[in-house]
Amino acid sequence: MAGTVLCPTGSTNGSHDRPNDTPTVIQWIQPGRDRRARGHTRHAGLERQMRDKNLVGSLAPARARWWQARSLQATEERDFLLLLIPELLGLLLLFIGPLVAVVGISLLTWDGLTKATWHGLGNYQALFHDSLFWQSLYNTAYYTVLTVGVGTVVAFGVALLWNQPIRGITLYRTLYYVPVIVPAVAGSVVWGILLNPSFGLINVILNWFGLPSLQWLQNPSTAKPAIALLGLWTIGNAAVIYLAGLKSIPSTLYEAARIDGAGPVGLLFRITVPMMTPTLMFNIIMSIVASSQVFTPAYVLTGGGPINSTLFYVLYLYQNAFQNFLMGYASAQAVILLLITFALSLIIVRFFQDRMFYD
Amino acid sequence: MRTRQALVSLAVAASFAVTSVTGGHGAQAASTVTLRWSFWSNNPAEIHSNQSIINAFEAQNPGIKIEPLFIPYASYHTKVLAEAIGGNAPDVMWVQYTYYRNFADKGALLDITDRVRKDTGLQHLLKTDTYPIDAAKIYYKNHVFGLVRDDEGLTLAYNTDMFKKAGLPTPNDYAAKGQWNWNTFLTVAKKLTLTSGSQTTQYGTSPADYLDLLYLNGGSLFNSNLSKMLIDSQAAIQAIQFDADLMQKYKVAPVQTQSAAAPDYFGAKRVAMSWNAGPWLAPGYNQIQGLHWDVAPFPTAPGKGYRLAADNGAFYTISATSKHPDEAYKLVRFMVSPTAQKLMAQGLTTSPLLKSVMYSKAYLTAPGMPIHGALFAKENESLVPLVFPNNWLQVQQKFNGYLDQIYLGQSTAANTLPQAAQSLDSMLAH
Repeated sequence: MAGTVLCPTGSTNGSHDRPNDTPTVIQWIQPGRDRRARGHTRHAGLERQMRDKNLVGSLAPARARWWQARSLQATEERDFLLLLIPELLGLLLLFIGPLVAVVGISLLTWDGLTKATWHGLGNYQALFHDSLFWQSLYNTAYYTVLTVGVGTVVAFGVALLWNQPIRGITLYRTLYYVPVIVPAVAGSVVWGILLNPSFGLINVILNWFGLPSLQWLQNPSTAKPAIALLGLWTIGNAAVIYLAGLKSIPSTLYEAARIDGAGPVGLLFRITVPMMTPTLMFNIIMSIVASSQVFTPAYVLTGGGPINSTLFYVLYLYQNAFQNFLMGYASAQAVILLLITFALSLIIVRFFQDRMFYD
Repeated sequence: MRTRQALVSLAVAASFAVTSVTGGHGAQAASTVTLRWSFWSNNPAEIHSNQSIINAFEAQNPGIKIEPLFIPYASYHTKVLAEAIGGNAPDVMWVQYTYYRNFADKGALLDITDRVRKDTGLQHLLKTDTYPIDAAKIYYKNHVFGLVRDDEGLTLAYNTDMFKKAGLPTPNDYAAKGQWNWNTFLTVAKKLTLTSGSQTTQYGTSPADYLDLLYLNGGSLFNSNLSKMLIDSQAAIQAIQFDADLMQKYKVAPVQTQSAAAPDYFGAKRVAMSWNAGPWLAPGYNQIQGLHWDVAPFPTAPGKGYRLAADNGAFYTISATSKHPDEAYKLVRFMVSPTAQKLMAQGLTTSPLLKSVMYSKAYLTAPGMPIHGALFAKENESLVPLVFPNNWLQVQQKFNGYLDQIYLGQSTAANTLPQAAQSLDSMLAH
């Protein structure tokens, strides 16, 4: 491989085996500047030799400083690393740093303003005895199953509809997608008005069809489905990804299946769904991650009620951190959420692994 | 190749520059002090009113510049807490009563007891021009961590068109004859609840506030040392059951749980009467087409006097990490002075703290004030103090759960409130 200039140690492949007493390193040696050139390695003699005879130059197109690349591929690799630095910096400062901090804080008792004290795993123990913790887990699990289950089917269905070559399809796609870009709080407030038991439009429509009005957010048994309904508003996101997946299925498969006598249902379940398994896996994982973090509708509309039926995990975490001044406790919750989400993602990947169809 | 390298280096440098810029800390002239003042608001009129206060203050104090920081109420305390944790809290911040004592306990607020004690002008205002309840509110464990912003002034708003259409005397007419009590209130509400088929198109009243009903009925929320919640008293059970009955039994109010955010039924012209209308609602209501409204006192409980809880209050506080405590105190002090209170009153944003301003013609006849706007001032005469425990938000959340059961008709106040009292007392300090 021609990128040996970027490999600090070792040969790039087994065919460059060398005897032990010679360096396998290609040194970016600047005479007089590099420590190793001044004889600070075990192989000082050879360095001097290389320096004197400009052996480095003979192993590479031209002698150059380490940041000056010597070939097109080297240039590209160097540019790649340079451009990656801001992203890596962001990852470190905005993701890895806070993650480590949260794990650290979960082992403390801290109210944010006064001195923190060590608490070890005490926060985790306290959580397991907290009935609201289990309530919030149940609420979130219920919501996630409902949203991911129904949302996947609906998004997939919408994508199938979007895939139809009818006139004005771009308009329909736009209309279905617009709710995704509505700010979450504004959307929640609007839905709160729609779901009002006395005057909301949803109940008016139900009454048109002769169905009774529901209490929606005012009743513990209908509050979570109400918020799940709200969540269905933004399936445009998932549908777009499903559409991309649908477009990538080769039409030859459909033609072959039709020749073999498959009807629309057969085409759907024998061709479309199997070919969409990678997309399905991706979307289901993303959907689970997003649903398990549901917060805004509950925060804006219900405050966790009625009777804690919409006390979702992240809402409870937020209340612990910012209303009850229990930063350590809330951090422990955050760590547990991370572990649960990670475990769920692993399970989904495992499930799909043997069922994936790539073309 | 060189151009490309140069462009790459430029892009990298630019991205570093962008990520390293922090907002809001521009260069200052050596002699100008900039104070950050954070506040929340329900309406744009308040932001204008605060800006006029800033202008007046800067005119009087040439060396000080104020940088207003408007944070919507829902996320206000979270943001302020996060900034305080980062050591970057605003110099002057509004703090709601539910957080005031917590912030003070945790050392986030500057202790201004000495400054207040030495401030003869302020002492004079507090003694002569402030209600004793408000003057006492600023003390926490015998220290002062902030000054009270405003006063109470909660009333019952009513839609004058709906009353006219139904041919009913207004609540003020009833009150003038001493007949405005829970029974007449219920009769009026029933007459103002209109249905069309199975749908209710108009409700007589918005859901009531349990705290108002409790205190009107002679009850109290806590005992004097905050170790017990007195919600299992006869007065409390009656009051909360009445509140639930309005929704479930008489169906004159839309069903609303305690924990959920209530929509603005009155502004949407869906209810004839609305509980807890304060002067800050005036600018908003006045802009709604076709809404003609006025305010009235709350109905008294049968056989009881007029009595309300002073449960609200935001404080002007100085953050403990402020680099300019003297200038910050000047600003806080200015905001309770007659000049600033007059400006605040003109915007109809809240009830002014100072009695002289509250009863001034300029406030009571300010444009946009309802006809009986003098009630916003008069209500303060009937207040009794109400102090909340430091963990009130946690207690309240649990309490709301019990209230929801009652409001949804799943159980009665007589069954649930004794249980609630027992369970909540364990959360209170002893």
